[in-house]
Amino acid sequence: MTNASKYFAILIAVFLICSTSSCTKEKNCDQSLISAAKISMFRGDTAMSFDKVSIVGWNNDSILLDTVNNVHSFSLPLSPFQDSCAFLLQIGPYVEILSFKYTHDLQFISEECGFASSFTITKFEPASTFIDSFDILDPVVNISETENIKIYL
Amino acid sequence: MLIFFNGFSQDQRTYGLRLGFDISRIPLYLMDPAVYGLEFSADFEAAENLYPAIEFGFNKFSIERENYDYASQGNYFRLGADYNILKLDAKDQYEMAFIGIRYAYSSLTHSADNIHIPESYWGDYTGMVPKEPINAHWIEFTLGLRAEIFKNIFMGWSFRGRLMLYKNKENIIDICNIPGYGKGKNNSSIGFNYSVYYKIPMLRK
Repeated sequence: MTNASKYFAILIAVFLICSTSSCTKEKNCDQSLISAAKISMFRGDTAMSFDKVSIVGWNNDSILLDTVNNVHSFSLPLSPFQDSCAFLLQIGPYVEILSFKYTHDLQFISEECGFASSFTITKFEPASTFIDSFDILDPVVNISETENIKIYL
Repeated sequence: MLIFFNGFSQDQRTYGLRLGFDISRIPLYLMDPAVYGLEFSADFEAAENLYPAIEFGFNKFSIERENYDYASQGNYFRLGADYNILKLDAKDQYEMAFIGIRYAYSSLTHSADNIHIPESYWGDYTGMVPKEPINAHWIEFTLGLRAEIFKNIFMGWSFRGRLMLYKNKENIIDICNIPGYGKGKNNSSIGFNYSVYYKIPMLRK
């Protein structure tokens, strides 16, 4: 066997022993995949917190917040099955309806995590029972912690 | 006459088209059945120590996760040349230590299916991403060895350093695997191949 042949035989053995990295090595997803509109409450420039805050989705029996105290901000999950949804926001005895219209897309997060929903708000409309005005800071609702809407009471 | 029938003169060199097959795909597939592909090559000695080469292949890739399935498949080719930096002791010596360069192109499609997004309030969402066409161009630098094991039969390996020049902007999904290149989201990659070759003798001078 020539020296070259021996050299290649050794290299074959080394190659077979070495592992290669690939897309298929499964790692765990280490982040939340929840997409929800982040909303905070203000009066002028002052951040406001309220007691006895409850939130429930329109046509949904599940309660998102149930008479929680000291609430300054909250997250509203948008429905991926339609292009609009609404929520009832109750602060004490006062009830407000928050309506959203949006487009829905799939966002690929990573090989480990897969996909999450991404929404782009096209219209936000409070019923203006006690909300004076609002600012849409970022219309894109996804898994990031970016604040989406400021409401002014 | 005896000299003529005893063998070829060491003062002559055999030229011909050398066809290769990358055998490293076989153990790679055994280690990771998600990746399946074949690669072939052809080169010839156009001038002293200069070997223009073409490589081509195809690749299928698929993964199944708990919350989605991903699949891609495509073809690729590389064009370039290798330069032998070994000093030959005799004219009929064919061992090579080479450096080289390639231009490479790949065309593939990928898609995702059985996408499952947990959503505790409105209900879990299921969906899919239809096939997206992808094109990619890159440049590749080679470094390797090649030796004649038996007459006109060669074995050789090469390391590849790859730099992405262009790829489609992904619409929805990151490209997991570009045939012939590797991980699609990387702007550079390193590769390795190990091939067997047969040189079709065409000319002797």
